[in-house]
Amino acid sequence: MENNSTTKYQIHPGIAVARVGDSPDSFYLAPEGLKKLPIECDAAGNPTKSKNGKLNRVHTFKDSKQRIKRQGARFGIYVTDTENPNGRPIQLDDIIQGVASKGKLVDIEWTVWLANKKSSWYQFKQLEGEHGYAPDHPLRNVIVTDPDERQNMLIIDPGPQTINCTKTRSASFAKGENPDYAQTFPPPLRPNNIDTLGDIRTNDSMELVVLGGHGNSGTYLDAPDQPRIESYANNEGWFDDTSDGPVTAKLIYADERDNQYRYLEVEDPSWVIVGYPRYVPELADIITMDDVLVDVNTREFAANQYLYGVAPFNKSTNIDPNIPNDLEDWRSDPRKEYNEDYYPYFYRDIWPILERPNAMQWVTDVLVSSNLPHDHGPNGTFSPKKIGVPPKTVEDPEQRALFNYMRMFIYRSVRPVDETNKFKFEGRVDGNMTGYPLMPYLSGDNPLSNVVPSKFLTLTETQIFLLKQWAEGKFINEELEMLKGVDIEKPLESIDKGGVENILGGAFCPGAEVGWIIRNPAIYAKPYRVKADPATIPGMANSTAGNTPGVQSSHFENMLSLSDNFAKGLQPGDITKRSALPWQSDFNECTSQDINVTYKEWNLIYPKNIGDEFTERYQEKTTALWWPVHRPMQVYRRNLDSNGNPISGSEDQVNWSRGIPETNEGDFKMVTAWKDMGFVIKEQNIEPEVKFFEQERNYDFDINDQYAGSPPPKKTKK
Amino acid sequence: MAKKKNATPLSRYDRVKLILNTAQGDQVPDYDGYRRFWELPIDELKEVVIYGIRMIAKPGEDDSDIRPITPPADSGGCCPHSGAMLPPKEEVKEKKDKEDGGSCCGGGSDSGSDDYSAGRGATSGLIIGLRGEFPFNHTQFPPLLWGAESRVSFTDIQFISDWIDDGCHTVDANPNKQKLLDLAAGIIEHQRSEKTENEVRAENGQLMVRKNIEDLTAEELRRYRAAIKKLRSRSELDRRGFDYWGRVHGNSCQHGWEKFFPWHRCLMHGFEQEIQDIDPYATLSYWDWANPMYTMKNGEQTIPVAFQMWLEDADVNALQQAGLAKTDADLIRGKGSNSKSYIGIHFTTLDEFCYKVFWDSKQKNYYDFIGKVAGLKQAFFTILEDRNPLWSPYRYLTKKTYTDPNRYYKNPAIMGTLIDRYHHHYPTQDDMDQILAIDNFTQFGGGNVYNQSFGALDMDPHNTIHIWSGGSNPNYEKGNPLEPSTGYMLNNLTAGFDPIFYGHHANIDRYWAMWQEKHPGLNPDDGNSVLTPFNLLVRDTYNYQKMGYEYVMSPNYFPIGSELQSTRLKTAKLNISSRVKKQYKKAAVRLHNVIQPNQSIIVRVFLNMDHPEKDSHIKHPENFVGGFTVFGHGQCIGSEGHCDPAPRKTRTHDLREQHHNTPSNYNLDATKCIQQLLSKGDDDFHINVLAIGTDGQDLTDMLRMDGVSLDFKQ
Repeated sequence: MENNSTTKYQIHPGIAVARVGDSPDSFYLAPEGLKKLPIECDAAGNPTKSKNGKLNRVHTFKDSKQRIKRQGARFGIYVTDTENPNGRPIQLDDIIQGVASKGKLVDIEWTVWLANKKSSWYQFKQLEGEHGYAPDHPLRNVIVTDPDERQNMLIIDPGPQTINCTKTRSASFAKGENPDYAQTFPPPLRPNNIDTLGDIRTNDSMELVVLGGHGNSGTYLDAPDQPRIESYANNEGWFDDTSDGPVTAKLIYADERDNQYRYLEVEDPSWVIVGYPRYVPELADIITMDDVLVDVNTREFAANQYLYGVAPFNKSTNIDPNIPNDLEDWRSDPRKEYNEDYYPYFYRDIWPILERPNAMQWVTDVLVSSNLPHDHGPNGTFSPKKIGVPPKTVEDPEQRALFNYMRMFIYRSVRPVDETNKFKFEGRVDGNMTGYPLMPYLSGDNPLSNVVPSKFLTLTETQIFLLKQWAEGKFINEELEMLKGVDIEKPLESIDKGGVENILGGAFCPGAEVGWIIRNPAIYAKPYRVKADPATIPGMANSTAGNTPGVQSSHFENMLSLSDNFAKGLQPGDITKRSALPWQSDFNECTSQDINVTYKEWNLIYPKNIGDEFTERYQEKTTALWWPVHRPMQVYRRNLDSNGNPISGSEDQVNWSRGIPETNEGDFKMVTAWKDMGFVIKEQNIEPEVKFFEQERNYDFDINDQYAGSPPPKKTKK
Repeated sequence: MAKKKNATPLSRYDRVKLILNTAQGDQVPDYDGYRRFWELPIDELKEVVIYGIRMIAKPGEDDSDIRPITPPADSGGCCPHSGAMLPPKEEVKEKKDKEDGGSCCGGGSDSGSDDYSAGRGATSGLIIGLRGEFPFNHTQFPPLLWGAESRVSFTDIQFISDWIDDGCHTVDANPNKQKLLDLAAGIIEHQRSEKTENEVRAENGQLMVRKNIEDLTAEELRRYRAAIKKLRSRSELDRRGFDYWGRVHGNSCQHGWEKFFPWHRCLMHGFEQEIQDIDPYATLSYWDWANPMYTMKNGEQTIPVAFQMWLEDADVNALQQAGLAKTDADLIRGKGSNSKSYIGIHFTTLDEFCYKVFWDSKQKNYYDFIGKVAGLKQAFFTILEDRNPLWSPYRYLTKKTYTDPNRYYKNPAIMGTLIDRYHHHYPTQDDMDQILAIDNFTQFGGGNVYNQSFGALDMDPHNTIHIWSGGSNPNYEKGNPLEPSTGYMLNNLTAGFDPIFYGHHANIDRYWAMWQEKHPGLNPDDGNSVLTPFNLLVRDTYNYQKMGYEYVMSPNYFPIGSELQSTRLKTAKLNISSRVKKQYKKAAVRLHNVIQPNQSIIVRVFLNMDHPEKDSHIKHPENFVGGFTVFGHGQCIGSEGHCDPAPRKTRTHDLREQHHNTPSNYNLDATKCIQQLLSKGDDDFHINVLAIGTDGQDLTDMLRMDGVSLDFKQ
């Protein structure tokens, strides 16, 4: 190709999340960073800025009619060249070097294709299917047997939409909005019908904003006992309006030879995922999708060969991961290992793992009742003044020994990655620890069935390795070394990270926005890039369409597939199709889980059936939380005075989903009640430390909780 | 020129610490608990491990047991990057063989330290970290130093690396090497050579200088006098003798037309060659008679001190042997009633000496004193000429006033100054400027053979000085060869017998040279005419440089030595005299014989600007002399020896064109810079040179040259 190889155009972030909302028009932009509030924007999707040029952050999450605003996912195109090795946003009039010509950028054509394939997919049965579905794995809506019917009725496929930054600046994924495409939408649904998966628009910076659905879920079944929910993950007849799909772009430039408009395709599509609202945007999950991707990228994409690769870690064995054959050889090289001489940075690599558990106190009452075991304070077990100081820096040998012990205690408390069914520390290395529960004390991917049990969550292999280095005293404290803020300058990578940091990274049963599929390296083309099926990318499968701007290029030969083909790439809907249907049911139930820990390999035991009274009597059970940051349990609520104003210093800890039982009936309530739930937001400067309070809960004080009533007995999933 | 001794110089180890402390600044990070680890006791420093990385590699060990951080060889070139400021090893060895201890910084040949370990520095974590190489390229760490005020410069990193290579000594095993490194980095000053200016210039194939005689160093003057004395000892028949050359002038000199300048240039050259046969580095020097210093307050004119007479104690003893009375000898020595000693006191004439010593005490003048003791006068002449071969007894510079009422009764007309007697004066600078402004050779230097006429310089300043420095003898005695009626300089026939003749005519020649520079291409008409008795044509004199000299009022040459590869250099203070500061007209910095590098180099020259940086010429324009780019010859394309510096001069019978990389000079006019600094209050100067790569980066191939000079011209 004649392309100037030094200039590269890419869409960032590689993956971003939009979120549903029942507000018809109001939206904001994704936070684009961990523990940040979303970004405020105007109706066109332009971020608003304060006088000092900082992005305004969103503080109210509902519109004037108490409807949840949608969250838009923002994508931009960035240029990397010799002058801007770290990338810069593309600008109008940039000279674009096309395949055989060049000229000034005059427009960008964005194409997005959202779809929801949940109803047409297999049933979710915990980890079954992660490495391929068994031939007898049941489908959802199994009664629809005709493949054409499954295609036409069970896939929500509004078709791709292309917009630009000049004349056609918005488009909708609604029924009837794509005359050139054979759309498929479900039959009429109850309680809420689905006739759109969202909208796209371009803002004044030639950026794309993708908005998802409105949180509508419903079933087309109209028997007298319908609509109803029967399962946390699979419900026949149901649809929801979450979705996902590729984002592609073409750079339109005026050829400097004849002033004709020609285009250059931006390589590497991005991917948008539409999930449910992030009710606690400022707290981080114990494992984020970014944590998972760092692990995948490190171990499967050779993204940090100094951390993980082939000894002796001096560059001599490094490969260029962009060369497919080299990467393949590297992946199959059995000598790969973690570099025992890798020194993690405390505040960059370690502290984010350690500081998250303590913050769970704002979304669950478990921690306060167990005396805040992860306290960061000066006397806490997690005080950075103690566990963040490398051993050589501690002069007093007694203190050094103490700090060494504290770090090792925390590290030993971490559940090994291959011990997902292990509940307690059993080693005899340290008698003090015997019997302590391993961490994270959270439910795993499968605490439910006896097929591939995975009772508890584990950190990623990479996280655990970094903790090991730290525990052994091999780490660098940026504050002590005056290196805070000094890091590898990879602004584009940090945009990519910002796209996925607020997505839940586990446990996946089936998960929140995404499921265990994100752990599979086969779905990625490279770090932070989902491999897109070329058939779903305009202008690639079809080389004649789209040569002329203004002529819709979205002519596609193939319908969306009913199966998977990772080798070819993912299609719209292929990531979210593995999640719960409707999402509200699993969301409602993912609070806490009773887990039977009598036998590591068994979740379900039936001693009674065989008259084993001893086991029946002495079987061991525990209760673990799922992911309280994505699905809050107990939150603080300010008490109100008679005028309805919050009383400072007066607060209650209340159930977040108060009024909604964790039953199938409650799940059905949640299908409509999710929009009434409150957001939990950090309030600063009220006391020396931060606190999180619930806000914008509908029907709480004024209508006296329409869901109130005596809660039915608690039940676990299934 | 007194050589200043530096205060105790920093050892290399001290400087390593200084470099790191300076870059780090006041704030110091933890460095794995060691804080300023470079301040650790040396034995601990050699072993210190920071985050698993040995800061100092073990000597001569390929596999460090701590961490292998030897980066793979990913760069290889014909002219390697290492040893940046050090000369190529072969050259060093050669040099070492020739002059022991002259240079000692070649890697492998540094046998001075037994624990020398090549590449030890380059594999040390400290050096890798400072250079920001893997894993300090953010793979694991950011470059060292962390949280520092400034990055350590390329040169300083190399300095530390070399120090490690040499075994991390706290005391300099080889201070000479340290000194070379400091010199190359502009840390310590380049001193003037112990040798004379001409010696170092001639050794480097540069033109020698004819200086203002007032600016000769004691050594230069001593050697000039020694050569003249040798010449004067030879007879008039010996063609190598002083008197022989005096006779050549008397017999053949050309005045009154265009051959005046060419002929005298040849005479000066021939005479100078006689001098150089004795002392190859002695040159003529000029008497700048237009300088106001030779006109005293009372209007009397005088001559340079170098030409004047004086007596030493031994001379007085010898005079006593020749008949000088003890009381008179005591008077000279200051032992009598008049306690003033006249030993070492300078006088223009013996007459003046006698008057000063004996008139007040004994009411005796020269005539009374010297004329009345047989043989004493001749003894005085001989002893004084021996003491100062530049003095001549036949030089009668008349004084304006004497208190002796009987003085010059025989010839009262010779009393007084030029003005008193002729209403004339020594030429002033203004007169000379007017003459230099003449824009045709005929008027300046004389008409051609068809239209003969005196040139302006010939007819007045030249002739006037002859007459005045010759003068009329107040003690004239008819028939006494010791007391002729006029001085040697007064007559054409005898002028060449007074050594001041050469000071005078060197100045005449200098004016011609200056005029030639101002009026290039204007020359005497008949270039093909033979100048007898010299084996030269008129046109051979057009370019005086052909004869191997140039005129410089105050040359200040600092030898650098082409083996030294500098990024910065600094000279010692010039110790410049206030007279030069007052009277210079032009100043120039010259980089002598700059070796052609592989890599092009940007060079900037400053005065009084220590540690210049890339932007110093913008921040301190008043210190900036100028800059230039050395046009590198490019990467090495030949086999061994291809990139060796080209020879300065070709062999006599080598008829090829000179080597295209022959080292050459770079001249920069420093007049404006000097003016600015003087008006700013600086009262002395030193030269600073900065060399940077053309890509703005630090250099790998550095600036090399024979020497640098700051020359003042009148």
